[in-house]
Amino acid sequence: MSIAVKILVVDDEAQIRKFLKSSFAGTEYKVIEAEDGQTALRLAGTEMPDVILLDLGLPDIDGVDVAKQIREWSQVPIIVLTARGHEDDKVEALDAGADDYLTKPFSVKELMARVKVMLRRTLGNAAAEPVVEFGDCKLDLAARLVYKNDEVLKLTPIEYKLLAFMAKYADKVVTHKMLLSDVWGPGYDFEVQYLRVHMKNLRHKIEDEPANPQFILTEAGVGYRLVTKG
Amino acid sequence: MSSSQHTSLYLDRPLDKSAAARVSAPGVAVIITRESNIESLVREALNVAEIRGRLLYAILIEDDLGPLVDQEAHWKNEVYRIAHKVKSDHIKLNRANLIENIYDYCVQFDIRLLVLERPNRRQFSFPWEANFADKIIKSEVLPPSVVVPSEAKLQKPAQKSILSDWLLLIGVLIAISIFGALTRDQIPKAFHLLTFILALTIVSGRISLITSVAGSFIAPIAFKLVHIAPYGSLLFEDPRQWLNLIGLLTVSLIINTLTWQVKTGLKETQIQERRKSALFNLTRDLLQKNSLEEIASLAEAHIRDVIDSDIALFVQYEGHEVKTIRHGNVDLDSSPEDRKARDICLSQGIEAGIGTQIYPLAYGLYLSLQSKTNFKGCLAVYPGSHRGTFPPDQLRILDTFGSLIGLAFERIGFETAQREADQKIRDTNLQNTLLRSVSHDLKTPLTSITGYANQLAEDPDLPTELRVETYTTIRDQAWRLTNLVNNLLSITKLESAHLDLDTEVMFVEEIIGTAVSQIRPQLEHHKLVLEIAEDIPDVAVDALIFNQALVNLIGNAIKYTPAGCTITVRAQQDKQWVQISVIDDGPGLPEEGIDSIFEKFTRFQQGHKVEGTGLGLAIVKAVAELHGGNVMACNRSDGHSGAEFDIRLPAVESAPINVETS
Repeated sequence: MSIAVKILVVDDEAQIRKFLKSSFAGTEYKVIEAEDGQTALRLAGTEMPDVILLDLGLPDIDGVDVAKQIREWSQVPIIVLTARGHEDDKVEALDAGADDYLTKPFSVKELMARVKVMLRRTLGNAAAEPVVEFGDCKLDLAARLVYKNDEVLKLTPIEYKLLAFMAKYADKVVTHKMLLSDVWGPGYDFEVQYLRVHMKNLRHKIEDEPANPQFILTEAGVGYRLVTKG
Repeated sequence: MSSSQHTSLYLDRPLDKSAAARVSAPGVAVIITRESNIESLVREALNVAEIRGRLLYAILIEDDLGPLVDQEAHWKNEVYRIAHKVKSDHIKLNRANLIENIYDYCVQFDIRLLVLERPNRRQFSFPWEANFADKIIKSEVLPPSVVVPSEAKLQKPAQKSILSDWLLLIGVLIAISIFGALTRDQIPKAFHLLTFILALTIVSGRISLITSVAGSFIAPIAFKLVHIAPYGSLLFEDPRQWLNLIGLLTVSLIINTLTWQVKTGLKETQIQERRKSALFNLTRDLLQKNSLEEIASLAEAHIRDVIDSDIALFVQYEGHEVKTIRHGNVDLDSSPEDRKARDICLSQGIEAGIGTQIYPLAYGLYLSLQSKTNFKGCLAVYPGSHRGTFPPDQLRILDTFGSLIGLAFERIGFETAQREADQKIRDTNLQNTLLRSVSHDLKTPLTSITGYANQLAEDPDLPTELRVETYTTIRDQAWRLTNLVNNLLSITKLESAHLDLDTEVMFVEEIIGTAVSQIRPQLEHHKLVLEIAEDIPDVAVDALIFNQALVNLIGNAIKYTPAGCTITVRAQQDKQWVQISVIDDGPGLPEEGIDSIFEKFTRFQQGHKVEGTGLGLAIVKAVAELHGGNVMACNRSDGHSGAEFDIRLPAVESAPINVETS
């Protein structure tokens, strides 16, 4: 690739920035650093990064606000970095427009995997793939059909919508709120219980062993994630 | 109703209106008869019931000496009074008949224990009672019995009317006079004189002193009328006959004196006996009591047995305010004299109040409870209706009681101090263990990280193989540190009082699935089996917090079992609980450690070295309890080796949610 992928790392801890920078050294990624929210907002505008790694605990602006402000004018993927025990911030940031999260401490492997998922959408195949495959299942978005072992699965309209929405964000976390407002529409944002019931039914149709799910994973306290890659 | 006239059980209404609603709780029944010492029997029964946390029922038994209707109310009131006073409100009384009926009654009210008094045959006039008690005790169908030793009922001074004394005296005198009149020609006069003396002797033992002294004067007159000529007249033919009469009078008076002395001595002995037994009982009972209130209640009962007085008890531990353990019938706020007497008694350890030099105008007598420790106590005794001082013998016994109560209070003070000290030591030990463990667990990985990092920094020519090993070690140790810090944060958070759970109703299947998918990377060498019961109820959990507990349990099963083992996660309903079990087929838990397994920094060393923070299970326990549930550890009981951990959560009855069909 001739043009390096630009990653904006926003963290007030120099050690973390150094660690991230060295993690990406020797790859096609180019790291630019910001140590506070103001710098991050400015660099997001001037440097046009391809992915933003955003720490939520910034000295000047709340990380969630940074994500919100960037979302006002840019669809650049944002992965928030959170410390354990701050789950609420995480959900808030995701609902504010962040795309995924990583809980500190994380491994370089995890980081790379998440970044790659982000780039898959933005670079090259920006349009949603017409067919999403996971395990022995296949979701044909054009035909609105779901196959398991080449047989058509009977899904209710809501189950189909849920699955399609998760497939749109394949391998990324989707929050309860995102699912609820997309499938049921605004006003149902807090009816998580509906969601659980349908998700359970969907799981029973998709998964071989629903209590040991391979594809539709629950992210405790956050939402769900459809895993499409082995 | 039945074959026997002897027994019928009285009192068919519950004492407590709410009792009907509670008949399901097991009970203790106290069996009361006409001769029972209700006070001690009911108290004892109440103790028995309270120790076992049971309801107390009372069964009153009628005998064949006529109905007890007139006494029924009295008995009921007594039982009420005692039970109420000792703060129980759950006495019930019911009608029944015979052993069989007691049996029925026991079955009906789920009575598991009977409390009765074994009557002393010599002491009681109703021998059937002894048989009855024996029958109950030996019966195989009835619940077991607690037999309260029969305490002499307070012998109330006989309320025989003076009239009956007079009737007896006059009757006897008339009888022997008539006998004398009929036989005076056949039998010598001396014999008749002896008859009179004999009769007076016998009668004087049974009648009051005054009557019998009066008898001593009447007898010579009767003798004169019947045996000394001229008969029927108080005139004398032979003045020497006066001697007979004076002799009769003197002998009879002497007999009266002697009888009176014997009677008084007997009474004194009885009183002494009663006091001795009261002291003995108090000493014995005090040893078994462990709270100030219990001791106070006991002391009051025993003092009342001997001296009919109301009491109050006050204690003061050094640096604390005066604590009133039991109120007397005197309001200290409205009687400054009593308050002053009590205060001086407490502060200086001297007796004050009525009958003493200090504040004699107080209503009560304030006795110091002797003590050599930092505890001060005061026993106040309020004479009943009569205002007066206590006689010296009562003072002596009160003094002894005071010492005993003081000792008991002192013992409790020591015990409390001991317990507090023990607790402090335990807390300190725990803190030390915590500090030691935390510092050890922090230092070990830090040391190796520092060491290996230095090696990497200083030796650029390290062979690749060694280099990789060094990196790996640094990474693993850093993970260990991370885990420890995370666990420490978790337990601190869980144990803080301010944690608000963000609970939602969740499917057990989803909870397990979340934990399983999170821990899947560590599962490569183990087999996982999931057994989730059909239609298992939902549970309300804080998804994040509970997930951690479940991950900890499954993680432990992985950590503590060799590769190739099977880990079963089973969810099933157990009445109002949902039980999630994590079961492995590894070596199991060492039996001696199971009790302490959920304590912080408990770790088992079993063959292979296991690294952990010793906090994982403490977190599980805290999480389970926060959710209104519990967690239990045991070894498998199904014949296989392996450990089993069961988390139980309250099942939630969730309203079904309408779901559209396809």
